[in-house]
Amino acid sequence: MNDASTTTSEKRPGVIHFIGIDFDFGALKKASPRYWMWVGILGMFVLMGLVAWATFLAKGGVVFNQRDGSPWGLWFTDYMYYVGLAAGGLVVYASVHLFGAEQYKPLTRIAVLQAGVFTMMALLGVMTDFEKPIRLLNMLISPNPTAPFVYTGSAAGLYMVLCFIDLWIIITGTGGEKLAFTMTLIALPAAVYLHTTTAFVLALNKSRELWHSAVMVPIFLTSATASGIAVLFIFAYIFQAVTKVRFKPSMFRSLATLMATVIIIDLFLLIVEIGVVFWPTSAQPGHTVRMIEFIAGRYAVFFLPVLILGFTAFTLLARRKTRHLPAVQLTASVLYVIAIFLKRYVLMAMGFSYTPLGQPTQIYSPSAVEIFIALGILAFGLLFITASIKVLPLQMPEDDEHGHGHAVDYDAEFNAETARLAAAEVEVAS
Amino acid sequence: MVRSPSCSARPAWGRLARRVLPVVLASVALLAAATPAFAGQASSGGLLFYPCTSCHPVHLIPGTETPDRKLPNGFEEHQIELIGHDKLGKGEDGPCMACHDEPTRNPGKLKAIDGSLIDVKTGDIALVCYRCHSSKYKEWKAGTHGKRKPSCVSGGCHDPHTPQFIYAQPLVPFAGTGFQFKAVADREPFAPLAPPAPAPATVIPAWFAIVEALGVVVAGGLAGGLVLGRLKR
Amino acid sequence: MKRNDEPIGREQGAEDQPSTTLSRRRFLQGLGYAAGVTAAGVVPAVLTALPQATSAAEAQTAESAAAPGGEENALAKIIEEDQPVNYPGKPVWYAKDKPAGKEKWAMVIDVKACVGCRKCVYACVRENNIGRTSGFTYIQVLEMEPGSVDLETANANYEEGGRPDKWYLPVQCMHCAKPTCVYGCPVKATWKEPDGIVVIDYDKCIACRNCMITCPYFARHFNWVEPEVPKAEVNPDVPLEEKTGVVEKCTFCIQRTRTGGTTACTEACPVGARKFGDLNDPNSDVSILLKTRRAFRLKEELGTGPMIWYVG
Repeated sequence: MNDASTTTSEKRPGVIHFIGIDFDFGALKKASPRYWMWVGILGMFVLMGLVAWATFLAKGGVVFNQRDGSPWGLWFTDYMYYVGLAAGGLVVYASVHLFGAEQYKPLTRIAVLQAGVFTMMALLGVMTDFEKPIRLLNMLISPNPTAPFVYTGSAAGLYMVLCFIDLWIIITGTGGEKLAFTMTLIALPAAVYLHTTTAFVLALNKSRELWHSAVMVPIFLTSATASGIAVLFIFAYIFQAVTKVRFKPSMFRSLATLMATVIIIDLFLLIVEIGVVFWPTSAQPGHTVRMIEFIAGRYAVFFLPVLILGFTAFTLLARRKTRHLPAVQLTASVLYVIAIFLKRYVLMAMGFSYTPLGQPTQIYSPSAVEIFIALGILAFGLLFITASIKVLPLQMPEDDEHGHGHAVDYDAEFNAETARLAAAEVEVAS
Repeated sequence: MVRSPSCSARPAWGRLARRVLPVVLASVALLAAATPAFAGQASSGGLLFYPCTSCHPVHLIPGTETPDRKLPNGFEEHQIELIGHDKLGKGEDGPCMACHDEPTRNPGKLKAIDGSLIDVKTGDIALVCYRCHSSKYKEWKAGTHGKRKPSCVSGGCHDPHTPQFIYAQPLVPFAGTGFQFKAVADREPFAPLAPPAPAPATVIPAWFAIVEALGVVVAGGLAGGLVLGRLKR
Repeated sequence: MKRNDEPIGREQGAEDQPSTTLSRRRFLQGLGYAAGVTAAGVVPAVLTALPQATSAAEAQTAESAAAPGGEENALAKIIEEDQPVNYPGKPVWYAKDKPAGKEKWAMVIDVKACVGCRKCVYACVRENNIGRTSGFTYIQVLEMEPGSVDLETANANYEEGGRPDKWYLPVQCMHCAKPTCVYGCPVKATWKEPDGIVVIDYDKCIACRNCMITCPYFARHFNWVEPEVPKAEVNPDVPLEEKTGVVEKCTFCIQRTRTGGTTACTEACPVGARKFGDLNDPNSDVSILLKTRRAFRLKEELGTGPMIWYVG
């Protein structure tokens, strides 16, 4: 299976062949100082996050800004957000095999890695909210089959494992094309299931009027797909910038079209939700009083940017003539990534703007401890990806049409090629 | 507010009653207020009337209606307000005779529905109220109205003369202070116990702030180096 | 697929079977498909209708069985709905010596009598070791606008009680017959005991706060700080340290009611607006009130089956 390319990699120092993958730790040694500065920054934030988490474990929930009025905070916003970003990548990966979108094939490894790492970040965020994490074992001892939490928690855990197994399968090429196809048949429904259960944590609450709507599920799915693709865009461009891999512009363009489509569906569902709340024949005081806070009240400063940035992102991508420009694609992606983060916050705040007894609550904004924990988790995830770019074979070797290959040392090849040319020149000169 | 009319059937007695009754009642109130046992008790089991003047005569300054001694606690003169129960009758048979058999003999006995007399201190006063408020009486007996106390008027619920006054604290009737709640239509606002306390404030330990500030500085330095390095290129 | 430009007709030959002829096999196949589709549509409908039919029949027989005096029936449906949910088989640890009896606890609050003095709120705080700095109380009294039960216009922070132009609605854990909090707890740390009290096992709670979010009455509260109670006021029958970092709520004074007493709020009410008792006892205050007065429940349309009624 791997004979042709194994010989080159085994002879290079720093490469450890483990579970069928060449982990190229040697590449880390050759990394530039800028790389290490970036790793240093991320490492600092991870350390600060650990300090913040230790503060929480020592002092308890009072160090957070969560209170009875708003019992869930930044960690839950991030959970919804990262789970969303995870699914988007997997949709792209699934579309390669399920919908025959061959042009996305070079992105599959990055996409699946993104899915696994972001799900891991989401779960870490949930873990940091528990004062006594050991009690989580109770979920295994006495799980409650009517609790949406059980389903989303187990779905996230299994999904993360599935993504990493899938990544291994793609990189090592086990099982060939057939297994890759089977994995997409499992992975895509798993992604949809994960999102549905996350949406159900919100939607299956008759106590919170704005959450108690079936449209939560499609909104979650479309937001997740669109934002996941947006992050995949950003990662692909960064990957292209830091390695010598070059993706085809047509691939990016096709991805941009896909993203634009999903964005407009997402915005449409949001408008539908607002319309249903305010239409005279369906308006209820419980709903309108709460929703008006987001359109014209205290939370408007968070919600209106969602619509503005979302529509801007769509407009940027809608124009065919400029859709292929990296600047346009990246701007739209960044705008949409911000918009969806705000949207996740707004989705959470929609349930908490008033208590179930009709009393307005204070606007929730995370405390310093919460912010540092969230940044620490983000830094940890980015660290994982930063290391993976060097260590894991994330790029597709051109000679391997199935996308399974091993680490190709571009530096060594480049140096060898340069030396050969130099030697040839010397020969010519002499 | 209606001042209790004197019963004109016996003019001499009536005038005396008018002079003496307020003072007697005031001294009764004084006695009750002065006695710690009475003052603090939730329920003594009966109305706090007592024929004090049978042992403690009150002397009025000749020619006036004022007592010759200053009464402690500021009780100078007291009037029985009848609000609601002033509608019980007019004239000779006046509202007093609706429940009392002989109000001039302070306070005499109370009339039950079958004509028998109930002693104020030892009898079941609720049977007087039962004469008109039979359904409420039954609800109270069943426990669904108000509190299970020895009678309607003891234990700090109803003032028999202005019965829509509902006492929230066990009070000596007519003392005029404390939590008093009126009937829904006539009630006046009062200061209740405190509203719910706000949620505890977020705590940021000092050592956390210091450590994180240092970390931000270091990370900022690295980031600066990264950006400058890129710019230099 | 190859385009066939030749006209359809007999010239094509025997191997081209025109679709207009219906063979016997085709007919039977079609019949089988139709029957399958019909069954697929009808069977689920029948299956879903069946339990309703059987339960309706059961309800009929149950009613007629309990029928002799007309009175018992009025509350029988309410009592029947009030079943234990997720009960682990033994009482919660802080009531382990006081198991549930045969009662079905309920409370009736007379909102005509309530003047909003908040004596019940603070009697409950003292009885149940609620932290004085924790920022919550089990009971909240809402000042309501006259003529509606609209919570959107209610005020929980009123500073004047007894106003004649408002009415007062005390709200606390309703110990629902279909408690959303119990259904939503991921680890079954909260459950409904056989006598109707919804309890929380403070040792099992993972502090996910999902129950606080699903409760429609805002009845559950979290101890963001350690509950601070002055030493002289600690009630030894009620847990204190175990409540740090977990959810707590009204327990219908389980430490009192299981041993023959009544709740602290009922005792404290100066106007007798609160009545607590056993629905199974036809002569209890609550039974009599529910049968003789017009009562309503809060957020009835949500179907939680709360066990606190309000009479006016």
